[in-house]
Amino acid sequence: MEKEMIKSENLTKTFYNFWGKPKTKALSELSITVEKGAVTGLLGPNGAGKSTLMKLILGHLYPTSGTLQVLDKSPRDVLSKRFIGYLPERTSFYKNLNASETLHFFADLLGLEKKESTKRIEQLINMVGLDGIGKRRVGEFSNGMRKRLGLAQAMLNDPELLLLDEPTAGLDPVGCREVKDLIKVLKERGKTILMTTHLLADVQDVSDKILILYGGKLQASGSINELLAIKNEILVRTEKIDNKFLDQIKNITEQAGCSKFEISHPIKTLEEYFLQVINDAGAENEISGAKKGKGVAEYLKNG
Amino acid sequence: MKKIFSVSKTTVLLLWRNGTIPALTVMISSFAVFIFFATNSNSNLTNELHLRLKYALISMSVLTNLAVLYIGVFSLRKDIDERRFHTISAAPVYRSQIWFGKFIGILITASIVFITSFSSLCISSYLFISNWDKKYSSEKLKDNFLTSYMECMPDMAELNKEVKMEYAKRLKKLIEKQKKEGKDQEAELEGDIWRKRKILLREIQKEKQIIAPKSTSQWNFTWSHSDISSTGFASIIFKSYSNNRKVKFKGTWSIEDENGKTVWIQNFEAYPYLEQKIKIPTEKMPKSNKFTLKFENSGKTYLIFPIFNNGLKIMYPNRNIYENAIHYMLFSFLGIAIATALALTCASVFSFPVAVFVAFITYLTGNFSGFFKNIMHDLSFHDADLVTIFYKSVISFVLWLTQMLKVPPVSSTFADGISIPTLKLMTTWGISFFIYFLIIVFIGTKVLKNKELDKILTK
Repeated sequence: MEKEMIKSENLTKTFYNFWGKPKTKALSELSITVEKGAVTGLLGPNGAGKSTLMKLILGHLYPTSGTLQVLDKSPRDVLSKRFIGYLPERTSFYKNLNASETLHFFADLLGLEKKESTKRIEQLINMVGLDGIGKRRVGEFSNGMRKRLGLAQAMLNDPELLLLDEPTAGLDPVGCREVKDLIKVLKERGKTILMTTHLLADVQDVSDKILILYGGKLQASGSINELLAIKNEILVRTEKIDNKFLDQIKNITEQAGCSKFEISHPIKTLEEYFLQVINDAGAENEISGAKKGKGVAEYLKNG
Repeated sequence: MKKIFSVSKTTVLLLWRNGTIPALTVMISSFAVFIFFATNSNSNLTNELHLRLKYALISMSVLTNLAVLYIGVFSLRKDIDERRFHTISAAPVYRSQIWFGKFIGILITASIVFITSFSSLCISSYLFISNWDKKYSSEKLKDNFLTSYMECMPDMAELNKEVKMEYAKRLKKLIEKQKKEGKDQEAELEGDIWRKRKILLREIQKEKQIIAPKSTSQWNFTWSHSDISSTGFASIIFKSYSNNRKVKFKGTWSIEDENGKTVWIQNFEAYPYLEQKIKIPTEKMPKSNKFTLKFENSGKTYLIFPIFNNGLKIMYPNRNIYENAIHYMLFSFLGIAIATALALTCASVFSFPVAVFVAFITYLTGNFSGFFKNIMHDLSFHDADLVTIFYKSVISFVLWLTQMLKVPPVSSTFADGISIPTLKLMTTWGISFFIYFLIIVFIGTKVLKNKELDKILTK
C-alpha cells in the first residue's frame, strides 16, 4: 500500500439545484493527503465541508472536479472498502435488531467467516461496554449506546483506514476516553485514522496532524506539535521542590534576560478527575445502560 | 451471494419483528376467507366452490401485490432516508447486492403471506364441502372440481382476417353511399360514421357466426393429444342463440382429424340460450395436433354460436387440482416478483411519497388496462390524423409500460377448474414478463448504483 492513504488534488464539490444551477460550493480545489499510520483531525466550523469530504471519501458523493484517491483507488471502488471502517456522525441501525445481530449483519457484509466474526463480535461488545445488553434491541438504546455500537461496527474488519465522524459526540466522558484509548492503540499498530470533531481537546489528545477547513478550503495543516508549540517560551516540569530553589531558578532566568516567570501546581484535566471518580465508584454498582468498556479488543491489539 | 442472502435474511427478520408479516398474513387470509364465505352462487356445490374461490383468490392476489408494492418502497426508502443505507454501503457491498437482497427478502415475505392465505382458502374449501348439506356425488366432485381441464379454443386467425377484409370493403361502400346522400358535412359524417362503423363490425361478426338450416359450420382446433391426463370425457361447451327460443335446435356434431377422417359423431338436440355440454370419450379424440369440429344444422331454425365471445370451446381432463395449484402458485409468484421489482425501482428513483404513488398508479393502470383498450378501440374508428396518432401512441406506451403488472390471468383460470397452460403462458406472457422484469431491475439497480446517496434522500 502507498504511503498516502487519502490523496486529493484540486477537489471541488458543488451542489446543484433541481434546474442544474450551482447552489453551494462545499469544497473548493482542496488538495490534502492523509498519510499511512497517522491520526489526522479534520477540523472546521459547521458548513466548512468536513462531512462533504467524508462522504466523498466513502463514495457517497462524487467530485465535481479534481481527483480523490482512497487507498490508491477511486472512492467508488467497492472492494477497497474491505480495508475501511466508518463511524457515521449519526449512527442509524435497524431498531429491531439487537447489538449482536447488528454486528453479525455487518460481519456478513464484510465477508468475515462465521467463527472469526463471532469471536470478534464478542470482544467488540465487551470493548464498547455493551456486554450484558447485547440482546436488547437497538431501538431501546440511548444515543451514546448507539454510538458505541457504531464504533464496534466500524472496527469489525480491523480496518487499515478508519473514518470517524464526530466519534465522541453523544458519549459520556468514560466512553470518550475509551475511544481515545482505542485510537491510540490503533495508532500504535500503524492504522490510519481520519476524524472530524468539534471537540478540539479530543483532537489535541490523539492526533498527529490536523487539517482545518473553512469555506470549503484548506486553511491550515500540519502536525499538532508544530502548529501549537509556542516557540519563544519553555515549560519545565518537576517534582515539588523547596521555595529557596525556586528563588534560585527565578534568579537564573532573570540573569538570562527573561522577563516572564510563572510557578504553579499543575492541575488535572476535568476529564482525568471525572474518570478517577467513576473508576472508584462504578466497579461495585450494577447498571442497566452501557458499562465501562473492558479495554481494547484483543484482535485489535494484536492484529 | 452471501451478502445478498444476509440482506434478505435481515429484511425478513425485520419485517417479522415489526409485525408486518404476521399482520399482513392474518389480514389477507381473513379477508380472503371472508370473501370465500360471503360469496353466493346457484347452490350447486362445484359452482359454489368455483365462484367462491375465484373471488377469494382474486382479492387475495390483488391485496398481496398491493402490500408488496408498499413494503418494497417502504423497506428500501426507509433505509435510505434514515441513512442506514449510507452505513451499509460503506461496507464492501455493491448497492445492487443490497437491492437484490431486499428483493429476495420481500419476495420471501410475500410468499409467506400468499401461501398462508392460499392454505386458509384450501381449509375453507374443505370445511365448505364437509358442511355441504345437500346431496352431491363424490364422482361429480372429482370430475368438476378436483380435475383440471385444458381449454381449447377454435383458431380465429382466419376468421378475424375475413372479418377485417369484409369490414374494409363494406365501410368503403358505406362512406360512398353517405356522401351520395349529401351528408358531406364533415361533422355530421364523423358522428354518423362512428356509430355505423361499430354496428357494421358487429353485423359482420354476427354473419360469420350464423349457421343456416341444413348448412354446416366448422372450426379448426390446435391441441396436443398428450395433454390428456386420464381416461374420461372431453367436452364441447357452447352457447347458442336462435331466431326462436321456444323451438329445440337439432344437429350433428362431428370431429375430423387432420386427414379428414371422422373420428367421432353425435346427434344433438336442445333448447337454445343455454350453455350446453357434450361429452366425448377421450379415447375418441383425434391423435393429430390439428382437428376440425363440425356442426350440421339439421333443424329449421337459424343458429348463432358466439365464437367471437368465447362461445365455443373444447375442454379435456388435463391434471388434478393439486398440480394445477402448483402452476397457479408459480405464476402468482412471478406476478409478485415483478411488483416487488417495481416497488424497489420506484424507491430507488423517487422520494418516499412519490415512489408509493408511482408504484400504485403504475400497478393499477396495468390491472385496469381494459379501460385504455376500450379507448384504443374507439380511436381505431377515427381517421389517422396527427392528434389521434399522438393519443394512440401515448396510450399504447402506457399499456406497454404497465402490461406485465397485470396480475397473471391465472386466478380465475385456477378457480374455474381450468388447467393453467404453463407452456403457453411462458412462451407468450413469460417472455415479455422476463424482458419487462429485466428492464425494471436494470433501471432500479443502475439508478441506485449511480446516484449520489444524498441526492436520493427524501428532503
